[in-house]
Amino acid sequence: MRFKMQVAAADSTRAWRRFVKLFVATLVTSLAVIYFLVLVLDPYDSGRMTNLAVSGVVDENPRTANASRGRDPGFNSVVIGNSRGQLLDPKRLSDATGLSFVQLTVPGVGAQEQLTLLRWFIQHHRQIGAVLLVADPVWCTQKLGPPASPFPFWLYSESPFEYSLNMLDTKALDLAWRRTLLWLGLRKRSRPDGYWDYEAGRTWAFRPETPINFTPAATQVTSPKVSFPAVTLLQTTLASLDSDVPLAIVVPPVFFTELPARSDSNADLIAQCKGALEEVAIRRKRGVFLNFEVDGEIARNPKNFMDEVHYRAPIARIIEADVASALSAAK
Amino acid sequence: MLFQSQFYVLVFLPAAAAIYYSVANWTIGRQWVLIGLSLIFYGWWDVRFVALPVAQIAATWLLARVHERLQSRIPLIIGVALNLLSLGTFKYLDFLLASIEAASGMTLPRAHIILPIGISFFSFQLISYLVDRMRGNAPIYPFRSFALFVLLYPHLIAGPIVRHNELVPQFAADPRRDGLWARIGIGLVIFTVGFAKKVLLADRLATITDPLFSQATTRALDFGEAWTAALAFSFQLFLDFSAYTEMAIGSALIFGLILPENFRRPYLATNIRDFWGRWHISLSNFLRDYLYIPLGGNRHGALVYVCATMATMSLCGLWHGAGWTFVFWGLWHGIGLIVCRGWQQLKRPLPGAAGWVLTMLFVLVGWVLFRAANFSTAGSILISLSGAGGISGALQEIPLLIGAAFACALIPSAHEIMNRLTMPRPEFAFGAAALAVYCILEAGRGPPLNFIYFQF
Repeated sequence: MRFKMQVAAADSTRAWRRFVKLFVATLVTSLAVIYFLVLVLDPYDSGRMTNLAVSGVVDENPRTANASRGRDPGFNSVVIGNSRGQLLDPKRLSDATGLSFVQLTVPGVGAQEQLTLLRWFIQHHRQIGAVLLVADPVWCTQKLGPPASPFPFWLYSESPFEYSLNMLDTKALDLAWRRTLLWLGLRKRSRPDGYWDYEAGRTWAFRPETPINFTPAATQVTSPKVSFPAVTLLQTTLASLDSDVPLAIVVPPVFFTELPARSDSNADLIAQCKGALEEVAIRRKRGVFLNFEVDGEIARNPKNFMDEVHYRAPIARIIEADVASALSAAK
Repeated sequence: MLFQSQFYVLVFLPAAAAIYYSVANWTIGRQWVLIGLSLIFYGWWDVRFVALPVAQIAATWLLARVHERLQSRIPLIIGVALNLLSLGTFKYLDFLLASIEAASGMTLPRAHIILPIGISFFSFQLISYLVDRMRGNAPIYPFRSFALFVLLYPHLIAGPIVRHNELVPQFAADPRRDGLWARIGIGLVIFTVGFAKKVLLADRLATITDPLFSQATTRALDFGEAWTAALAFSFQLFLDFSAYTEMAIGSALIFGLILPENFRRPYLATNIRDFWGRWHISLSNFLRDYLYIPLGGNRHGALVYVCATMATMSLCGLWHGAGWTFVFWGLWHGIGLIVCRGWQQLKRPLPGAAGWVLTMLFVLVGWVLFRAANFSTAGSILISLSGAGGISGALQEIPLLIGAAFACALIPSAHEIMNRLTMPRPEFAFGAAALAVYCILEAGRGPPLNFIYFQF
């Protein structure tokens, strides 16, 4: 054999045994203490194991911070969506409706993540004022696949076991430490209502190249002939809500080049998907469906957009006002 | 199952060690325990994959028995052919079809076979046994010992490539023999070193290399980006692969088994022959003994030497991946080895620093070929690296690159640790355990990233 190990001399056996015991004891004790502290300090403010005297988190990542926001009793209404619902200001919505909105939108997520957050909000609120869902094409998929980017489903899981399996990591430890500092008054709580203005600090620079001979398809809403699994799951989730709770489903606007082209074979499918979402809304006693994804003044003006699919503040104000009016009318 | 996953570190490894030592006084029992654990470890990805190594092992062992009975080489040749056929089908069929398509212009159906992990490693070990049988250097082992030699989970997926005569005799040795606590202690330290290299350095470097090499397929990287990509990948590849090796050697040591060395700080090499004496040593030795020397080696004149070297290195490239970029990477190193040997025969050695710089530049260019998705991407990155596309942009993530460079140069290899760590000081146990705790916490942050060499 071309390799060998210097076997410890007999008189060093004791020293090596002590070395191994110290290593194992340090490892096990440290991990046990860290795990216990993290569970007690409740880094995500999910309220599962303990309820500390302090509310909220110091966490700028909505994927995890929404666990705290979604159970905050200070809010009775919720905005669900991805980045295309992000610019809707919960304070303005609250002022216009008399309700108290929290933003649980998360950039880059699909329908399953949004449904998870909606379920979390419903589970943690006995009285719900309204639900506003900003539904973009992620709801129109015909096959629900794994999320495009990692999402902590375990954090919103009903299983404490699944939750506790994910508590032994540096992120949980870091957030537990930040929460301790929050408790001691040494850190500021992240914004409780979840609002984040993606225009802030950025320069508007949308200069689209309008394609030649681009003709959008008629942006209509048609009755669904096929099923959309995410919409079906939405229907199931909403069944756990009181029938009196108002629901607004908003299809957000896009720059007109993002509308399906007349030649696009998906145009009819998208129209059907909108039809399925509209059915979900109108089946409820106080449901409204607002389709902003239409060709018109908003869609044709590049100044209304940060990019092809993200509208700017003036459009957010229009949507907020229309939602508030529609919810009032639905009373 | 990945070595750096919390499940492996906190559940599988302690449970495996506990079960193994509970039957330590029963030679046959502890071997079957390790076989069972290895099959669980391997089947963790996809239980269907388990059938392949088991079938190859069984077929190889049976053919060796037939050879013993008949004293004919034919069963051994069939065995080599079967293992090559398996490797060829699972790893190279689509590559072959694509090459035929490219050469002929025909459109052929693709097999789209999922590559079973570790196939290159266990196939090579089986072939080495059969070739050693032909040479009269390999006895017939009991099936369980033979199966365990191949299946032993620490080395099954990505090596080190172990010879039967290095490992099988160790199975008979009682793991509780003298030096038990030293082996476990050193195993824990070596495992921790590999763990830290993987989760603290290699996986962080991946966040630089992956996007840059991906962007290079659609646009030319600037000078700074190209150097960042090339340096980061050079460090990542070594840290990732050596981390795997160290976790493998550390795990095996906990079971009282010693695996061979695979790296000896290769980025300190001052010439390309020196580099191959330090990089993936178990593969280099395998290629030398089973390919290069049988092809003629360096004792039959310059022409045979050149042909043997180029053939060995092109197959070395192909072993790494089913793609022409890998073949050219092997040829690139073949040329380097030939030029290096020629230079050494001139007896005019370069100063150490100059030799090191030249060697590292040579290796770096090779890694670009190795990592790039295709030749045009590799060419584009190499043009940017040379500055021919302009000197613009700055090196990114400099602290991480510097940290990785120091780690590559300073962290001793597994066997260096084995041989040097003779004083088991308590403060060292605390330090190593604290590092292991931090790595476990880091490993919990998200899904573990595969080791690069799993794809080979």
